[in-house]
Amino acid sequence: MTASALDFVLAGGLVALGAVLLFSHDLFRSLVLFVVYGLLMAVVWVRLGAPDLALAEAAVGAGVTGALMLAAWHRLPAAGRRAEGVVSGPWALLSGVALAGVAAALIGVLAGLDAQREGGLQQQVLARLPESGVESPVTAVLLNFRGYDTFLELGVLLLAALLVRLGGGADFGLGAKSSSVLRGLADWLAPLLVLTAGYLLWRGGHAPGGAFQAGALLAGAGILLALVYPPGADGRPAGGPRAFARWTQGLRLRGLLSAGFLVFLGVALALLVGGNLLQYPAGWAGALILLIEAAAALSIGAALLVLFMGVAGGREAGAP
Amino acid sequence: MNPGDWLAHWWPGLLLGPALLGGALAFVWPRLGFALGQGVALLNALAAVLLVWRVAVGGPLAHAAGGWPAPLGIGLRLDGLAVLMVLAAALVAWAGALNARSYFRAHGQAPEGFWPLWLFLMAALNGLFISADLFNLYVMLELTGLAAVGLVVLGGGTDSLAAALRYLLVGLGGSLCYLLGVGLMYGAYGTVDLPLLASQASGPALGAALALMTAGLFFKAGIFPFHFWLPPAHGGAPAPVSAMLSALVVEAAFYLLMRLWLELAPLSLAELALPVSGVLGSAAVVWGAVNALRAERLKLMIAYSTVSQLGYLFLALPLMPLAGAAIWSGAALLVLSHALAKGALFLGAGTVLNVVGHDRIRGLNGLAQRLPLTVAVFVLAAVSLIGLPPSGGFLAKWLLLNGAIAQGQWWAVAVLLVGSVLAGAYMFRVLGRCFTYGHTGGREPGVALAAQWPAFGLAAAAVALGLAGSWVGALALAGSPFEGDALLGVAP
Amino acid sequence: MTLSLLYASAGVLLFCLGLFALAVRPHLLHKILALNVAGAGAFLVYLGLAYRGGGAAADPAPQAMVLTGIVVAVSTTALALALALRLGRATGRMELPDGSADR
Repeated sequence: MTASALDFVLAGGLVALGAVLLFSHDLFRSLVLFVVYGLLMAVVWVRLGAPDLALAEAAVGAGVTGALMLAAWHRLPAAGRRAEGVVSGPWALLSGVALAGVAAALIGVLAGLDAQREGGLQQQVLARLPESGVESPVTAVLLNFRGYDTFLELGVLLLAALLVRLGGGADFGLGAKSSSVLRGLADWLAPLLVLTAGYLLWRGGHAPGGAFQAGALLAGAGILLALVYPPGADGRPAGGPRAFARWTQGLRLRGLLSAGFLVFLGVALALLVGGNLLQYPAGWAGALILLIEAAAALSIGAALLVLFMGVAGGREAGAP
Repeated sequence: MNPGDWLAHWWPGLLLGPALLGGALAFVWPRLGFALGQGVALLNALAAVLLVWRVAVGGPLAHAAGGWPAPLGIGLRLDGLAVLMVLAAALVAWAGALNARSYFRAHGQAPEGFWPLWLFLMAALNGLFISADLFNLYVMLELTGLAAVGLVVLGGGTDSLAAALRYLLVGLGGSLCYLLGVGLMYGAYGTVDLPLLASQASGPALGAALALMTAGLFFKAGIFPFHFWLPPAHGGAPAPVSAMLSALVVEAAFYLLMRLWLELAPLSLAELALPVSGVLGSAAVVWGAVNALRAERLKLMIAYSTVSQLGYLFLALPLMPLAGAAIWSGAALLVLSHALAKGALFLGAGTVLNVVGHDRIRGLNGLAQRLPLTVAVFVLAAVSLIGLPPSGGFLAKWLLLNGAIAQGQWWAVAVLLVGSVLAGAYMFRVLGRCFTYGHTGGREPGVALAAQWPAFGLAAAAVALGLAGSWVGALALAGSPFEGDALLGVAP
Repeated sequence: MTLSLLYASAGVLLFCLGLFALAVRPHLLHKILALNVAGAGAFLVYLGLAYRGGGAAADPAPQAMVLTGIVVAVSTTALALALALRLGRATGRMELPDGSADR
């Protein structure tokens, strides 16, 4: 299918936006444009027939990553808020020329590829879909056909959460001064986000959605509450989420963070008794996938929240 | 079920299960970290030995994760080379875990997060060695990289932090190059399974994808001139961590390059592209060794030695397509002996740091009287790194030399010889100090003495590897693209 | 020009722009942004090549790979930001120190 004018605008806009945000001299503007870049990317995913990705990109790529970036901006040392321009010199020139050459060569290869591309795995995925235990092809690939990848990806997330926590400051409550109106809004919005997360999780079996999107929404609810509730005297939030924040720390928080990974690992190893690693027995695939996804969504939500808190974090590392 | 069949079915569980489970549990209950670390490292070493036996006796193993054969699912395989890498990683990780017990005792206990990261690194390396799926390898590379960066941070201090961050950024840049290459591969050929691609892929997209993946792995392997991040990261981490990083993590990237260029790439493409690897490797051998000679600190010297020794491996790549079996075995032996010797050296350097209080090479006079066992470790490791008989390093370099001579590649012969002389020079510079009469100062020994035995074991294994060389060389060929006798395959 | 080629080419451009910015922008936040832009460029190549025309769903396998990639990217971004902020607090500057003096 040939590209329409809209596609040229979208693709050109993405590249232009990328160039501006990477080479702007105003760091804050770069960060804001990065969020726009993520949202525009989500639109492109819809255009390319990938609504699952659009959801994930909007929630994680633009949402959580953007929030991380902006949170980092607020914690920069005063001298660190200026963008220092670019390194110049022979090495910079050389890498620029080399990368321009790489881009030209790759686009040439892509143009040659366009005419004689092979089918990919879509037919095989669709043919095996009835055996996968879910109806959504993307979920089938993520949690059945290539479930091993997804399992390890939970490991990556767990490691990142562990490492960010080591840097200190994974407490809830950011000390932001916020109005009671905002707090009232958050009180409504947070439960709504949690409900939507549950819906997305259930929906993931047959339509766009699933554990990652659900987890991102859970994290969003947590981030929202952390942003609007200032910490009390003990450093923890003083309002509604206080009980939750008090409950989720130490052992329980670590347990929550690793629950998805441990459930996935347990299922993978247990299934070795009767078959291969992560080979679901006939008829059990749907139930096991739902179990894994439910645990994974909780852990993903907790991990993303910990990542955010680690960057936006209440207390300074090393400080009392 | 007889034991062989049992292993043939459970091997992925053995290699991934204990380490991942131990890692996650050590995260949830930090107090169990030490026990889990010791137990799982031992278990993993036993599993590796069992699997070496299984592959040597029964041939390579394969496993379809999820029960879905490639291209739909993810293929795992354990051939001769993979099982040797698993063994090297398991031995260094076990020795490192034993050593960490004493190493960190000087500071109280292992820093928070050490044991989960250590166990995750072990699992990620195992997973990387057994994966036959290019995208799965991307996830494994990220898992390995994240665990490695985390362990470097544990060195404490601003220098370690900067080194870790530089390592992270370079590693992520490399991962992205690799990731784009995989995407191109899938877009063009509809699969990311290595064996399937090897039989189906051809055309410009294959070349472009391989080039991207190779560029990414060059960064991750720290080959000259992409090595700039390596010395501060490896030199600044806690000693057991340095051992694991220098011995295994960079070599894992080389291992993937071997897979890509000798299993996947067609011969014509390999012959065209691999001379680049030979040039970079030659430069790395010399550049790394010269910097090792100039280094003032022991750990930094060892890190530069890694840059140099990696050069040999990259030098061997362009010789492989033609010389086949001999060079494949030689490279496998070199990877293995370097892993063992380098692991030993870093663990030994950690003992020196703990007992003497510093690792400035100028201040090591009289170390042989103070820490005779550690100096013995240095001597044995030097024997293997320089390539003196009967060590594994000697046999590996002998095989490489033979291959280079048989092909008339005199430049490679020259670099191999110059590199050995330089390795001798930088190792003797340290050993000369150790045997000079003097007084090192520092605290009383006794704190970290138990830490010396694992290092000694690794160094002794590196030397003894030469004696088992023909057996190891033959094992490396099991399931490899090459056939023939490792030691007799080339005309002298 | 097909839709596939258009978006995949845009992805390649973003990838190369990102790597270039990674090399030449000294500010750590810019380097981390650069990695994210380059990563999204790589994802765009995956999805551009997975496009199956006329409103049909894209090939699910690369979609799943990109989903995995997005989660890996957010994990590594958070870690890089946390380390960069720690380094910034320790040195007062948001740049990597010059490594040429390592000996």
